[in-house]
Amino acid sequence: MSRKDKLLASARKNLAKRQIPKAIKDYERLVELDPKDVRLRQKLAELYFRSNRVEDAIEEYEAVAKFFAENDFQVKAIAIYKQIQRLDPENFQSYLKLAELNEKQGLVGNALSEYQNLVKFYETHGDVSQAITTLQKMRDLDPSNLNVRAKLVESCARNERQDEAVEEFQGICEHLQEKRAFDKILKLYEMFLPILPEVPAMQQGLATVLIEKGEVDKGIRLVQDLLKKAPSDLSLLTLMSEGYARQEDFKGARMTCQQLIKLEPKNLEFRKRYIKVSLDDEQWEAALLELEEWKDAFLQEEKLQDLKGFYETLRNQMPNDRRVLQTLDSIYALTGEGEKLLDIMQPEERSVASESFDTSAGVEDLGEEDFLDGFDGLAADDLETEDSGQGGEPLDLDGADFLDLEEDLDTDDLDFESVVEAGVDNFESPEEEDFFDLELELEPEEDLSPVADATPLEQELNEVNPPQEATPEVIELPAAEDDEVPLELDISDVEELPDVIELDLAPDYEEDEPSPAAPDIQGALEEASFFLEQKLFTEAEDVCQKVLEQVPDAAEIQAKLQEIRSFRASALAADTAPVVENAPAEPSDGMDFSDLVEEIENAPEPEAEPETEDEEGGNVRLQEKLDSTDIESHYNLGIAYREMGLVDDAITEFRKIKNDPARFVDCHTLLGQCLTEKGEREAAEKEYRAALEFTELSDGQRFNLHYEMGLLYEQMDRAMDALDSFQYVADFDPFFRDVKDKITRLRQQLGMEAGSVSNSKDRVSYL
Amino acid sequence: MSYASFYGLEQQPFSNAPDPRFYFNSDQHSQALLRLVYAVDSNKGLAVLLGGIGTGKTTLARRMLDSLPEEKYESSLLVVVHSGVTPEWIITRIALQLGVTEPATDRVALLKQLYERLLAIEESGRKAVVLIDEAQMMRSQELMEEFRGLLNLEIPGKKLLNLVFFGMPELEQNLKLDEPLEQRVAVKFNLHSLTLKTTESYIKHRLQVAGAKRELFEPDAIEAIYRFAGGIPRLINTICDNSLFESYVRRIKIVNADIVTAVATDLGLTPSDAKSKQATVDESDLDAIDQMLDQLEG
Repeated sequence: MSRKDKLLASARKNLAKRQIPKAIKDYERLVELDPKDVRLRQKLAELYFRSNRVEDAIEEYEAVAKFFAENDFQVKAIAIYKQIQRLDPENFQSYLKLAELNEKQGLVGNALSEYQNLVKFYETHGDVSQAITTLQKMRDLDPSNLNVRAKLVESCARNERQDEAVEEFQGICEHLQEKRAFDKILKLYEMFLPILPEVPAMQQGLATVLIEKGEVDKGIRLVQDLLKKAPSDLSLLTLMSEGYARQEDFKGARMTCQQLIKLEPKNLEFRKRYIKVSLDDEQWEAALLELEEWKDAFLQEEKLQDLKGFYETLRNQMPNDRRVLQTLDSIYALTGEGEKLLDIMQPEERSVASESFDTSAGVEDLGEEDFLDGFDGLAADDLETEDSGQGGEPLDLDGADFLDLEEDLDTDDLDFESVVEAGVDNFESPEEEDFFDLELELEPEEDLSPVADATPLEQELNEVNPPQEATPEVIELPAAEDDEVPLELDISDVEELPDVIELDLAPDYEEDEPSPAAPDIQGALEEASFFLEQKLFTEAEDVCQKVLEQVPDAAEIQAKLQEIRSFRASALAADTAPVVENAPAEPSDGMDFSDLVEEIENAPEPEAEPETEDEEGGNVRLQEKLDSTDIESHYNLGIAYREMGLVDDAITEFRKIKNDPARFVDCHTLLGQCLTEKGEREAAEKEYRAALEFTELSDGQRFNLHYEMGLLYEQMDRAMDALDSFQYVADFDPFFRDVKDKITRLRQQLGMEAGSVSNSKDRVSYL
Repeated sequence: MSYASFYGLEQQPFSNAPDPRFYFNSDQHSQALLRLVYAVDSNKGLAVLLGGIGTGKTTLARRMLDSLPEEKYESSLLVVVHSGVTPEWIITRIALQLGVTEPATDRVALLKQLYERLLAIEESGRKAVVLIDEAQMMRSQELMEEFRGLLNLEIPGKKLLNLVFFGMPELEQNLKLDEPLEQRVAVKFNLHSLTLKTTESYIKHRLQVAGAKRELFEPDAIEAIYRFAGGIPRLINTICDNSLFESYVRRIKIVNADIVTAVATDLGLTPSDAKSKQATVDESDLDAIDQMLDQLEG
């Protein structure tokens, strides 16, 4: 017998005698002898733990976990680190390791949960930088998680990292903007403006959202105030013009565009915007002048379609204008729509048009040759005009042309400042009435809506832009003193609160419902499967029932219905069982961000996709999407946790995947066992029953489940039920485990031994 | 040496005498029991279990009686053994079984005694339940009317007596003799013969209860038993019992299909016979089977 064997034998002997200190000594020697044998080290760690030598236990566990992690046994490593975490909740390295290992294993939810604990740890210990870094990791891991990102904004904002805060905040807004979830964005502004009060980008963002959402007046007022500080800010001016256009204040929009053009004459987007609002404002001549002036530049920028649209609009309004017709004619030639030429020009006009191309001095000095050459000869062959001899000259788009334009603009007597100041347009005297109307719109009367009815944000805006003060000097936002603003985000629900907006829309199955005359069984099956996947059990059942009403014998549909009921039963069982969550978050001393998320999610959002409902009527948020690898990882992790005695953690893992058909029976069975271990017997029974409902149960699984139920009923003193369960197994396999002994013992207990008299005998009589 | 000891069994596994130890909890028996217990537990008044010969009605009735705890139920099982039962007999026996110590001979006085007893049971927080096995033997309109009268014993919002009839399918015809009674059937369950799979389970169950330590029937033998018995438990018992005996005589350790076929043929059974017996419940057929079974058991 080797020394190792001797030591092992001694250790076993000491353990049998419960002489733990001696057994520890044996194992210490064993580890010394073979330090690479992690099983020995794990055993030693367990013994240390049993002897309350927590530090020693952790040291050994760490060695074991390190070995597992380095040798790609991630799941085992996770289970060990989890044990370390239990032994020493302050061991932040274990959180980090757990997060990293879970991330490596693809278990995003678990990783986030561990990172979340880490963030709390860093925050508690004042390590802001590490907290933010961890939050960034969480953000990278799950960019769609609003909670994490909002927490990141808050952390950055509170720690003088405003640029990062704003960038992150804008990222969130962009995400929501894609969903057109403006109400939610407004809520976010409501939360974050107080801690980022002096950041113009935040206020500009708010204005953008207000305008997008349709609260244009408020948005414009906010932009006006911002423009006072930065009158040449192009993005603000652009936003302003957009706001005016939305308000159908096209004069205001035009003037704003002219200001933009002044600031950046070569910017075709500004000119395009100007043309568009001019057309909207029915200023045909102004639009045409601008177009004729800049059409070459538009072409160079390949904005032919824009040009075409503009000129077609003009042609409808100015059907006899030669400039319009000629340019449109050339555009059609370039777009290959030659057949339209005949539609727009009479033969004689066409002749004139052709002549105009031929002449060196075209109408208003806008030679077509320049126009076409400016397009780099792209479609010159398509044109029926002859080269005038001047067409080869390059376009001159700068210099004098722009000066001319500016002169043109000047002659319009437009005064941008007045627009900014009062939101009015007085550049055309015939429309003075409009001017006054517009002024009136910005008078205090406009904002007479009771403050009490306003949302917090509206109130804030009313404070920002008091109606009686048309042009406040500064935007007054709520105080932002760090020590007073009770903004503290809580990401405790990070895993439970994924971005609800991403819920898939369930299609209206009734639209696809097969006609009563010939039910589409295959279609119904697919539809029912879809609903089942979404956990919309009622809908899935309805689909099946409708088919069965017409074809009661449809076996496939009946099977599907059975499957649906089975899943529903299991879901119900799970939902009624107590939920073991991850380590609960410490209550924050400030604002609870989960409230914010809840508020955001509860905000009316017509554009938002509908939330599904579970059978108990609660909201079902999108669960972490798991592929088969994830499922196996969670399953293995659950097993590993259970082996380590970490029953709650095991339950958490099994619950995550219990509805997946691949592990449905296993998970429910294991959940039953774990819950039995915890003494939650009714919940355990529900798990076993749910598993028994599974349609594709194998004989082995069924026997095992009945056996487990028998054990459970024994614990619950339900001897008759226990006997039935064991008897069920024995009827198929009398030699299954110790089922025979169980039955014998229960029969004795129930007085059902051979020769025993039933206690009901005297209750039987014969007639 | 009996065949039981030859096969290492502690007792005869296929006796047709009702024995709760051998209760086979098949899915349909389990479902039936669930519904019947529900009916009495919720004071539904009248529940009916129907089943052909040998489908396990009596076993189920006894199982139900066993499963009604005395602290919750004042329960009793009456087995009708001949068809000449009169209303007076019935009511007197029910009264006695429910605890009326000295039943009056006068019908009105007896009903009063019964009503008072039922009230006492109700006040003690229990429910009065009377199970009647072989109920198809009660064929008179008077009897049905008597039962209707018993079901009318109630206090506001609560029935004082629950009746559960166990019988062959013709029991339904008897119930029709008194239409109001028929309308009061709150729960009705039909027992069917066993499938091949449940037949196999049934056989293994009985062997296991009897102490078998190994398989005693080849798979082919079980299939043959199913074919000849048509899934009727009592016939299964008879065939199995005879097959085991025959194998014991021949010193064969495991029953094969040949032995089953030989035994079943000796019993006058053919696969087609069994099926037709199962499929069509004709009274003369049933009587014939009953007689045959009685002879075999005798």
